[in-house]
Amino acid sequence: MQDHSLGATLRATLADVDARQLPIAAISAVEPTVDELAIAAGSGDVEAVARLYDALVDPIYRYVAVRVRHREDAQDLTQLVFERIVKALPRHRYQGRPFAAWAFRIARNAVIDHQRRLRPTEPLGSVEEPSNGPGLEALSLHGEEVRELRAAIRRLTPDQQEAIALRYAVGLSAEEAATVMGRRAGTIRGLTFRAIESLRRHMSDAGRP
Amino acid sequence: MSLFSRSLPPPTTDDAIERSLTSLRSRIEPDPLFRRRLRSEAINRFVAAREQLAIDPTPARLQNIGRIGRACLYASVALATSAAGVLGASQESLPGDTLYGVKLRIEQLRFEVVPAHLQGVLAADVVAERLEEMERLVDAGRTAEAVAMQPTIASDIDHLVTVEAAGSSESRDRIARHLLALGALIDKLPASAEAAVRAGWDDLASRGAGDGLSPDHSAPGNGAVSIPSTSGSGSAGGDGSSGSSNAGVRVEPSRSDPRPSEADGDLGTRGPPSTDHPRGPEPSELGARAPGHGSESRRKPQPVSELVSPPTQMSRGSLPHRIRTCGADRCMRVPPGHPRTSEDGVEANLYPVPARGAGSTTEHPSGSPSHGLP
Repeated sequence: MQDHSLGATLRATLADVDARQLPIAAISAVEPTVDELAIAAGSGDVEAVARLYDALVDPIYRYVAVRVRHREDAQDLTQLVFERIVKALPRHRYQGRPFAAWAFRIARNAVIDHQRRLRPTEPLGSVEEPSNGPGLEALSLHGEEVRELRAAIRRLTPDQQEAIALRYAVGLSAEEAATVMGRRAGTIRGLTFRAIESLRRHMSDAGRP
Repeated sequence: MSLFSRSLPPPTTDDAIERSLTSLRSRIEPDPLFRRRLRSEAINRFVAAREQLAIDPTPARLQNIGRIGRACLYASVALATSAAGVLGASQESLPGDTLYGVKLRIEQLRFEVVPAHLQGVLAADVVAERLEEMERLVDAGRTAEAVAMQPTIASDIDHLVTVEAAGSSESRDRIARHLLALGALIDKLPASAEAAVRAGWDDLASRGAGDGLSPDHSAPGNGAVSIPSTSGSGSAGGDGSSGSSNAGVRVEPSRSDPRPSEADGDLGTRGPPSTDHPRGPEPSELGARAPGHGSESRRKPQPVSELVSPPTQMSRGSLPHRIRTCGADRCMRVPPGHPRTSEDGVEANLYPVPARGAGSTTEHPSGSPSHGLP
């Protein structure tokens, strides 16, 4: 079931003006939303593209970085995601679905393809984190607590990992994460709840002598 | 800025795990340099796509060929690369190496594709290649394999003589240079291998003489060429290590030299070939004999023995008069009848270098010491 409430606000905003033909400066005097920027970018506004990039680069990078092992992989996948986004922007037309959800689906597919390519090379049951490898610690995550947290996240199921990444690393709501993952919001909440319980259990087990 | 058109309430929880998870958002950030670079790249790509200037780095045909097609493409590229590597590596191989057979096969293929008028040049190159291989083997201490190359070189010489035009001066020059190069290897060989190479060298020399390359081929004991003696002395042609009596690198006397030459008899002065000219004199030098030769020498082709005369075997007294002085950086052509004055007793410096355009004395065109080579 699709959550149609996500685009309701935007559709109401765009009811009085055909934003598809106007640059970003004419759309809104206040800070535009991502969807407004996407519409302006679809009409060829370069400034809208720049601001769209500024709005999406950090969330997409965080989502990718939580789900891959190395910093280089996170950068490569982020670059790949934006290549695909920019390539499709001139043909982008607003169809009622949030642009951010579409962008995160691109990132999600890129991560899935990346993990699929790496899967044959990873040893079975290898969930232990390297102590000194260029993992997320190199992404400015430091400390034993964060290292344990990351090791615990990698023990989760793929859906739980994705739900945790979207909800906490990116900061999406359950409904927004559901849009990205193509699930119901209740499913996302359940995945998140079970993921946190698993993390708590793993962290407590790791803290025992 | 909200990603989904509405503000997100920050998750508030007292749970330690959720606080740790929430902290990921502030701790994971892309590198600032990466962010700026990707921003510029994204904008450029967008502008290019908007203006329909985007150039997909992957050709459309490659995108549609599928996995199997792409695998075949990569395999063919890898095969071509490896084949080129094998061919390149085979060119440096020596007899006994794994790729030496590939090298020989390539040479055979060249003979099949090269036009007829270039077969002689190709055959000469093959002989030169064999000689170089032999020299490298000797340098590497693989004397047994070097000696074993004698039949191969003899076969290549036969082929060279066959494909070359009969009596061609160029072919004689080439053969002469090859024979001299082969003789130059004698110094590097141990005593056990020297006899075998010496015999092979004599055999090759006699083949060149027997194919009309030397006018003296019909006279036994007056052969055109033979292997030089390592002793450097003027021993007779019946050198003990030589299996052929018609051998002897005959020192070419100057036709204008007043002293009688030993080579007017059967055998000439022998000695090791000069390492300064392992390949013998250049063709231009070989042909420049007009001042010292009479009309007889112009009527008949030069014998191989004259072409391969090692320069170090020439005594100063036998030097042709036309090139008499060799300084450190110049050689002068001295006209006949020039007064010979000596100030320091060194004959090479007898004649001062005159100014340009001083008439009868001219500088050697090469500008380098000739070491007595005519």
